[in-house]
Amino acid sequence: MEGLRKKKIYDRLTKPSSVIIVLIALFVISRISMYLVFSRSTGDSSVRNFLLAMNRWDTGWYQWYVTYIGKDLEILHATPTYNGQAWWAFFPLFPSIVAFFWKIFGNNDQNNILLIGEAVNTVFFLVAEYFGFKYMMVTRKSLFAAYSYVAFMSLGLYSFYFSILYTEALFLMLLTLCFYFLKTKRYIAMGIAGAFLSATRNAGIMFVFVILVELVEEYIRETASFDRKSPVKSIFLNIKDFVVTNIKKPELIFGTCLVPLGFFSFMALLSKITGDGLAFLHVQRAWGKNSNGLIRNLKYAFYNEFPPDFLSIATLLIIILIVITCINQKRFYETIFSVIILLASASSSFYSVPRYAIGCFTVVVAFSDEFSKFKPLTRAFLGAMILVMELILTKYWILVDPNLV
Amino acid sequence: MKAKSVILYILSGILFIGYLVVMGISLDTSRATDAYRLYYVDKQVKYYLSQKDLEKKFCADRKFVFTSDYNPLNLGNGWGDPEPDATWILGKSGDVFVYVTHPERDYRIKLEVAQTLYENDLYINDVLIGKVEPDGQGFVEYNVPEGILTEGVNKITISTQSDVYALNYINPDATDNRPLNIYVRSLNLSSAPEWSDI
Repeated sequence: MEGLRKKKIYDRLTKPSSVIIVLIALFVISRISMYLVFSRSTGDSSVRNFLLAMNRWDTGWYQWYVTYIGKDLEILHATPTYNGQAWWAFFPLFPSIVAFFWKIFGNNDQNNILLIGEAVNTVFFLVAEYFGFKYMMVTRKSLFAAYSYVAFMSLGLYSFYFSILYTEALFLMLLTLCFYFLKTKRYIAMGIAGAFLSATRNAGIMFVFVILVELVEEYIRETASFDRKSPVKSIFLNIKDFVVTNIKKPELIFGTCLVPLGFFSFMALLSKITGDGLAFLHVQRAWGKNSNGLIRNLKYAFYNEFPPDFLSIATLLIIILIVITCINQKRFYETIFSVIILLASASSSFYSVPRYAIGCFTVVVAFSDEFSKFKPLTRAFLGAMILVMELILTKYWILVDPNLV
Repeated sequence: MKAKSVILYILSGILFIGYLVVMGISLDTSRATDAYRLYYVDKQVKYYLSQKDLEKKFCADRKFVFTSDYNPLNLGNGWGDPEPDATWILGKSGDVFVYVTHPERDYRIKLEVAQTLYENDLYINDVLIGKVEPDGQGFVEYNVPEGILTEGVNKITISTQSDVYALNYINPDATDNRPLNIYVRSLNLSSAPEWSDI
């Protein structure tokens, strides 16, 4: 009887309509709490001002970007500033989508770019959460872990990034779709999502490594055989068989080949405009990006500049989390993406490392899985800590403090 | 089903070849402008200049005044920030980039030096022109030998053979810890008897 009741609850909570209701409810609660933080910290209770004030830092660039795409693609003729900053530092898909809706609904008002961007991103974010839930159910088969994921994305650290004029929500949605379609073996759908992903941010192209690692894991799990008497021959035969097995899957090959399409299309465009297809990399000089590497930056933060600042500690915690979840869960195709994003973002400085980690899907997925295995008291304490920390982060985001973001 | 597979393999091949072509084109920056390459690819200038600015403003027959009022943007690597009187080269050398449209003309190069702490040499496109030994008014002037200037961007370098140390290392009373070398107020590369300031 008890078992039947539990199954009924389980069935009800896994129904798409239930999932959608829960994730919308969590989203609304989180955005109301952000509004309350805004009104308490600034004394301003205007909802419109709240929506505009959430857009800080790079949103100015995106607003400018959208405006000049909206003006008959004038952006293609825009020259860099004297300090070398140029529009091609930002990949074009997200601003192009916002420009499309701004042309239709924007009334040529620049403030409407922010509001339309927030609305579009909200849709992307909710879709991302829905497929994130489905991915958790496919890979973890744990309702608690799946709902933990949804809760952490809506109410967890740095969740404000998914509602402002940043690429976070679109990137998260496309990445989630890529992971979901990869695990459900819908490779062409994965490739299409991947092509858009690599047109959203250069990190998107790195998804091809996820595919490779997943295929290797799958092969080792299901097919590989190892002869201890002749290990070299055995490895060689396994590699050969791995290649032959996978090359016989035309949908997989085509889907994988589609992933870099957005990236290379942007390179071709930049090559035509500037004469340099790698302009999106070279332009990083204007933002003072160095390439010290993660280890040197960690040494600097924890030894030379001791005591470390908030972002250095956050980066170290993210590294620890990635290592622990990799050991515990052994989902190397997820870990590889977390590691790539971490190395790419933390090699120059620790600014934005938490943002990229939260937005790279795999870190929160792995954390939610671990979280679901904790004792109830630990979960309650950790959950409450994260909720409070998110409110603090939101406050410092609104107050334009760079030390926490 | 078989036809679908063949189509997918062909499309995959087309995409793969396309990526190789784009990669090949992308690595070749010879189609980029001089201004673009100077800042982004070769990383030789501190500020980005448009090609139009480079050709019209940062060209021969102009006097470049290296003070904070003028803040010339054609300073290359090795320079500190412009100060009210002049700009220091920090370390062993500093480059300036000047656009030349008629290299066949006779040119004269003139430097105005406010202070010098080391012996320096003057180079154009890595060819030694002479020593930087200011006269009583702080000027250094040379005729540019034929064949050194090229059409397009030309590099003028002021460089010392000596090791350059932080000022407070040489002089313990000094508070400035920058490796000051030479304090330059202006430069011009002229084929005409007169020039306009920038």
